[in-house]
This record gives sequence, C-alpha cells and structure tokens, in this order.
Amino acid sequence: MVVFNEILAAVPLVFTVEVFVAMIVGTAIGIAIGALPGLSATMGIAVLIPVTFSMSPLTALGMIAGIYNGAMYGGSIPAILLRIPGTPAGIATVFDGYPMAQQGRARLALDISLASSSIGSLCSAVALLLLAPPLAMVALKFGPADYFWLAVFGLTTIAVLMSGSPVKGLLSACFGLVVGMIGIDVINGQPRFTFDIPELRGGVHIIVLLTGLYAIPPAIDLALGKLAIDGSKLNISGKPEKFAWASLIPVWMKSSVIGIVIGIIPALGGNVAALLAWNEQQRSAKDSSRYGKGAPEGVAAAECANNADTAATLIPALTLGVPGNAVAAVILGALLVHGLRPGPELFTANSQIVYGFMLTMLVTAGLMFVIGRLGARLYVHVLRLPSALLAPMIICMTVIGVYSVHNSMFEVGLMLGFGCIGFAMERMSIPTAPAVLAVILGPMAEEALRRALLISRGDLFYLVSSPISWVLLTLIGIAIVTPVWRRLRPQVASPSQP
Amino acid sequence: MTETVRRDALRLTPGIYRMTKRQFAEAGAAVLLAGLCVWLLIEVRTYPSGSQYLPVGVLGLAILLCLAWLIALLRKGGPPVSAEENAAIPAATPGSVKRLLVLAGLTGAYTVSIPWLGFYTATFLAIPVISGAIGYRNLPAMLLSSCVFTVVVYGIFKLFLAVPLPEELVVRLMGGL
Amino acid sequence: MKTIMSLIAGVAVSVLAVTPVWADYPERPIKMIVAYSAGGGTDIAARTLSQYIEKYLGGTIVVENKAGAGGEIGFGALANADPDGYTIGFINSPNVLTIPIERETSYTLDDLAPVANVIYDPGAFSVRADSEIETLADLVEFAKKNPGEVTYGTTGVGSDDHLAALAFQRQAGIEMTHIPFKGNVDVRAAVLGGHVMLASMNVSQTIADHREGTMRLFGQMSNKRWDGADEIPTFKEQGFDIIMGSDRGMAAPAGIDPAVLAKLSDAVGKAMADPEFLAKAKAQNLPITFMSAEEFAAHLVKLNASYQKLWDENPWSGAK
Repeated sequence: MVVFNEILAAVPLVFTVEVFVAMIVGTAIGIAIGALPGLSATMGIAVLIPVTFSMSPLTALGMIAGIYNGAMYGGSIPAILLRIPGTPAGIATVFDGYPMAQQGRARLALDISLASSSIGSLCSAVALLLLAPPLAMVALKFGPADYFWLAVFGLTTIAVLMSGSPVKGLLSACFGLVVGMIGIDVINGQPRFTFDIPELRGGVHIIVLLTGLYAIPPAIDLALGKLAIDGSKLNISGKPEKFAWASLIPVWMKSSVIGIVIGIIPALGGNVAALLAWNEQQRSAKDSSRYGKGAPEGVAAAECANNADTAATLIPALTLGVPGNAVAAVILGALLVHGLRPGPELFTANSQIVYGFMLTMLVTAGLMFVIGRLGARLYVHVLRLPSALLAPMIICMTVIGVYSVHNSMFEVGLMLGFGCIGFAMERMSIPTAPAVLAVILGPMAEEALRRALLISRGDLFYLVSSPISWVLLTLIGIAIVTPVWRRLRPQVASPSQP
Repeated sequence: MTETVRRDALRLTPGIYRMTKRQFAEAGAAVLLAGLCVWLLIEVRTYPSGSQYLPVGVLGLAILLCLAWLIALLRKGGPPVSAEENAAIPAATPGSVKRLLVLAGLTGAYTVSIPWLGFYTATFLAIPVISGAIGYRNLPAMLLSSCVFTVVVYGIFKLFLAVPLPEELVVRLMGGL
Repeated sequence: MKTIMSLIAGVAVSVLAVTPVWADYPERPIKMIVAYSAGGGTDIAARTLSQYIEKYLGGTIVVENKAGAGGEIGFGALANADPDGYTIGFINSPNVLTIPIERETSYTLDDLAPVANVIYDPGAFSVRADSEIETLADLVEFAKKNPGEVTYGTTGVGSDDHLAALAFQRQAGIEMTHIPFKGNVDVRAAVLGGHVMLASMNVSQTIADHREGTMRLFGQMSNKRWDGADEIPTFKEQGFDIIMGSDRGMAAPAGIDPAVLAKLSDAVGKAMADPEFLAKAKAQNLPITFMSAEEFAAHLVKLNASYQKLWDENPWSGAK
C-alpha cells in the first residue's frame, strides 16, 4: 500500500497552522460567494487565485478546496430563503427548500442542507483519494495517440451533453478552440493569431480567460441591478425542531453515489447531479407527492449530490489533465500557476502536494459544517450587501488579480475584453463552459495528434494501435449514441417546479 | 414574456418577418462572427501546413454554425431556448443600456489610470465613483467600503504577497518633495 | 557587437579606477526582471541568488516577474529599461539569442550588457534504462541503419534541447525525428512510457532518473563533467565537439556605467562563492558556473554566431 503511506505522509502537511488557516478562510469566503446569487465557485476561485500566488502550493490549494466546497453549500442559502439558486448547482434545492422556508421551517432546511453538503463533500473526497491514484498509474501508460482520443472524448462530451442549443454550444467550443490556438504552435514554432503582439506569443493564460468569462458578467449584472434582492424575505427565525436525522442516511448514500458518478463524467456538473438525485429520490419514494412541497429528503438529496460532485470532478482533472467542468478548469489553472502539471507525474514528483490537496478537500468538508453552523446568521446578512457596491469591488479585484499574474496591463485589457464577450454570450444564451473546456482540450488534442503522427511518420494505424485507444474510442461512441438513444426513449418526467 | 416579445417586435421586412430586438441582435452577432471567421481564415492561409489543419477546420465549422444560427433565426426566431434560459435574460431597457455604457467607460478609465495613479489610489477613487454612477447614493457606505477594500487589498498584495504593482502617484509626489 | 566590446574595455578600465560618484551605489532598491513566471526554475534560482547579492552589494533587490513569449517580454523590458543600474535581470540562453534570430523583436543582444553567468546546465541525451543504446556511438550506428527511426523528445521548437540535437545530427551525419513537448516532465513521461526513444534534456533534469535506474544518461554537452553528474562522460570525450546547454545569467541594459557593471558583477561573483549559497544551490540541484562580465559577453557572442549559422543553414522553426 504505497499510496496509503503517501497519503499518511501528507497528513502532517495539511495540519500546519498556515494550511489550516487558509482552509478556514477559503471555506468562509466560499460560502459567502456561493450565497451571493450570480457569483459561482468558478468565479470565486478565478478571482482569488492571484492572492494565492506566493503562498506555498498546499496553502493555496487548501484555500481553493475551501472555496470550492463552501460555494457549493452557500448556493443553497438563497435557494431556500429566496427561491434564487446562489449557484447553478443550487437549482434542485429550490424545489423543496423554498416551500420549507414558506412553512416556517427555514432553519431546519438550512441545517439539513449544511449537513447533507458536508456529507456529500466528505464522500466525494474519499472517492477522490481512492480512485485517483490507481487512475494515475494507468495514465502513465498513455501515449500521444491515447491522449489524442482522450481529448477528443472530452470534446465530444462537451458538444453532446451540453444542454440547450447544440449550435450555440458548438460555437462556444469553437471560440474556445480559437483562443486555445493563440500563441506559438508547439509543434513547429509558428505563431498563430498573435498579430505580432509579443504578449500573445505565449498564448492566453487560462486565468485571464476564466476571470473575464466568469467574473465580469456577474459584476455587470450586479451593477445593472439585475440581481437585486428583497431583504424583507430574509427570515430564518423559527424554532429549532426535532428531526429524525437517521432517516436521511439512505438518501445521503444514494445521492453521494449519483454525485460522484456524475462528477467523474466530463461536462456534467453539480446542477445535473442535484437534479438527477432529486428526481431519483422522488421516483423511489413511497409518497412521491410530498416532493416539491417541502420534503426534507428533497433538500438532502439535492445538496448532498451537488457537493458529492466537487472532489469527483477533480479525478480526471488531476490524473489526466482533463477537466470535467469549468471549476476543474480553474483549479487546473491554479495548479499550473504553482508549477504543478496535472497528469500522472503529479502523483510521483509532487505526491505530497497532490495527496495533501485531496486531504484538504476532505478536511474542508468538515470545516464547512462548523463554519456554516457558527456563521448561519452572518451569511444571511451577506445577501443584504448592496449590489452597487459589490460590482465595482469585483471589477477592481479582477483587475489587480489579473495584473499580478504576469505584471502585465495588456492582460488586464484582454481579461476585460473576454468579460465583454462573456457578457454578450450570456445575453444570447451561449454557454461559456464549452469554451473554457475547449481552451484546454483543443491544444491537447492537436498536439497529441501531431506528435502521434510525427512518431509514426504519418502512419494513421498508430492512432488505433493501443488497447487504451480502443477503450477511449468505445467511450466516444457511447457519448455520441447516448443522447440519441435517450431521445428515442420516452422522456423521464422532468422535475415539476413548485 | 410573450407580451413583451410582441411589444418589442420590430418589422424587419414588412409583412414577411417579425423579429424581436434580441433576435435582431443575435442575427447581427452571427453575421459579425462569420465575417470575423472569414477574416481569420484568410490570415491562417499563410501558416505552414501543419499549423493550418486545426484552425481551418475550426473556423470552417464556426462559419457553418453561424449560418445555421442565422437560418434558424430567420425561419423561426432562433434555436430553441428553454423557458428558464429565456426568463434568465432580462430585456434591455434604455436605462440599463445607459448604465452599461457608463460602467464600461468608467472601468476603462480606471484601467487606464492605474499606471498613472497607482493601483491603490485608482481603486480608492474607482469604487465610490462607479457605485455612484450606477445609482448608489449612500455616501458614508461608499467611502467606508472603499477604504476597507483598499486597505484589505493593500494588506494582501503589498504586505502579505509582495506583488510589485504600479507605483503610487501620491508616494512619488511625496518622494519628490 | 561594438557595444559589448566597448563595454569589456570599459569594465577593464573601471576595475582599475572606481569613480567615487558611484561609491554610493546602490542608493535605492534594484529591480531584477525575471522573464519567467514566479515559481519556475529561473525564478527560484533568481530569488535564491538575489539574497546573497544583496549581502555583498549592500542594497535591496526586488524580483519582478515579466513572463511571456518564451522570455521575450522580460528580455525586451530589461533591454529597454533605463541603464542607471537600478534595473537588472536574468537572461536565459538560448532563448535570449534565438528569439531575435527567429523574428523581429524589441531588443537584440547588443542592447544588453552581460553582468555575469550564474548557471550552465549542459544538454544531455538519455534513453529508457532497458534500451540497447549505451553510448553515442551506439546511437549513431542505430540511426545510420534506421534513418529517421530515432525519435527524440525536447521541450520545444528552438529550445536548447532541440538545437543541441540538431547540432549533433549535423556532426554525426544522421537523421532523427523531432517530437516537441511542452515541458521536460512530458518528455520524461514519453520516454519512460516508451513512446519516444531518446530524451534530449538537460543534465540536471535527468540525473536523478539515471541514478534511480529508470533512465540511462549517456552524454553531457559540457567542456568538463559537471560536479553533480561526474560519472557521465561528455560528448567531447566520445568524439563529438558539442558544447550546448542552457545558461542563466544576469544582464543590465546596454549603456550602463562600467563602474556600476563592475560592482554588480563583483557582487554576483562573491554571492556565488558564499558557502551558504553553494549549499542551497546543491540542495536545489543547480549546476552553477560563474562567468565574469567579459567571459559571459564573449560566450554569448560566440553562441549567437553558432545559432545564427544553424538558422541560416536550416531554420528550425516554422519550416515544417
């Protein structure tokens, strides 16, 4: 059990004062970010990564783990109290959480949400610790051809699984691919789309793109008063009531598994996990009519599943460098900033940091429970922050943050430009996630393909010569066929909105 | 929603098409994007062949997608959008457009002023100015939050992280005395 | 070229008579531009060394990272800075030399006044431990029998690894296939996974694998064997006159007062002889090699000429 020893070796690193404080701060900030409608975990991490630049890698990652877990729970606060999901993943929490609040059981709903979130995160972190190391060992065997198919698999799932309009989803992916091509072509040194601007030769830094796409549009929305909140609805007074917590255990078990599985599949996120878990809970319940009308189990299922998704998304990201969603993409960016290249090497050369990071995902799950419990009232007040003040602060924070990436004003301008594009995309219902994933997967696919063809001197059979390639080809096939098959089948009853 | 759509509807070609403002904007975006792709495609043709495959493929696909988008808009008012997505997009009002322009202008001015004023001075000024310009009127809260934010950012970046940001004008002036 | 020559002369003169005007230098903090991101190899080396330069120079040094475009942004910022002695920076060869050869840039070698070289990391060839290739002669023999069959991984087009392999191919009269990667971690993985046959990577990056027995290092491209890898024969010992690798040295903008330059160069020399620094360098596996301002300038001029020749004969980038 080499892996087990390495995990144990990382434990003392996680419990240093520095890392522990970072985790507490991260979790506290994460819950606040999640609670504010429009601000997501992706945005929070992207904006705060520069703050972590000169921290030691594990301190930085501990803080990021806290933000990630915390934001997933934080999203349930406005979902329950105001019927506004704080993050997209909080959407299923609205179904039962808001009716509970209307019945005067807001306090209980928040408690259930907190407990379920913590348990979901905990299960997810355990899954990460158990599944990532063996996958990393397999990943060492990946050749260029295999990496090509892996990236293609990632791109296929984005294109196929993105909800809404496929035309817009694909356009977004094309945008990401073009941005990913900016800079010097690694294979032959040709600068592409640089227009003789030296700052573009090294390519667009992923943090610049992510900050622009994920932090600027919400700031604009806040400034335009689109996310204004009616403060009078914020009422969590209500007597603490007795509740049979043990009855939620089966719900947690089922939802955690759903969350973890969804998390591992690229392109599916916490919102899908939460919806599926809620649906499953309703379907399998004896009295399904209670759901959508304030059933505690509904809140538990949704919140547990969206938090069980968190660490699981990092499994393919850390081992193969393939991010499953936008948050995982930002975390990859954070790793790169600290000189850590995702992939199997991470598990050998930097094993203490990577296992330490996984442990911080586990520890912050527990911290979240404590912080959420102690700060419940405070977080409700976060919702009262005037949006007209919040907007300029977010803009200033993104500017200073992006500037400190490379000490470059050019990149600040670039980030604001991406922000405008992101805002326009949002207004035209073009999803931004495919663009972000394509920025990472596009160059990976292109370089791997061209490297494979260089190695085989143009022999296309090299691309299908390894068993790993065949496995990946099969997965690509499944990813393409599944939605078609689903469309031929009668639709699963979609959640009835209360 | 349908009501507002009706009200916003403008006649593009009398008697043939009815497009909402938003659909009209989307059509414009599709045309613009397709044009941009064509321009990039011309640029790409100068690259050596190995560097050309992916950009040509992607840009070609993007042009086709833009056309598909445009056709869908002209035929039935755009690709299907779920009700939730539609509700999430607020209709543009003259007031919000004005605010958006003010915000964009001030953000630009803020960015340009950083190398001159220094980061902290510029930020200290930007927060009250921007929030005031978008209609916030609580002056004490504005000044307080501006102070707190600047001090916190100063604490994080200057003392804690030692990131060299552009020099402060105030410091330069005082240094010159 | 003239600038460098005059500088060398200037340094020689100024060593004899340090003008009292500069006796107070440095009066304010010195900015040290590093053309690579914080946390990278050059950055860590620069930050480690700067503490010891401070000790001997008697001032403070603030490291500023200006990363991007393979170092071009940082080199350009350094070359175009005010030559008052308060902006210095790290320059990395071959990038600092090859970028102006490959394309139009905001600086050339003439705009820089070398201060001292700090690190010389020789290039090296290595294979997976179970490979039948044990010497350069084996490699040449194999490549002659199977032209183009030898695939070699490098950290990118125009990198020192790539140029070294090109020079070797030319000297040995063989043909190998270049497979560029993004970083040495990827090259290592590809060689260990058996996807690429040969790794052209710096000695300091491969020696640990060699000693662990996972890879076989069979040649380093230095004049004499590096202390950290003294069991590895040089290319010269095996009959190939190839001295290539990556240098990390310090430079100031051209036009700097020779007395200041001498003072800086002197401080770097003393810092690099500091036993504390030497211990840290050893811990970080840094192959340090001090060169004075004149030596470093002459070295860069010579290297530049050889790269220019390689480029003129067969440009390595954008040509495929």
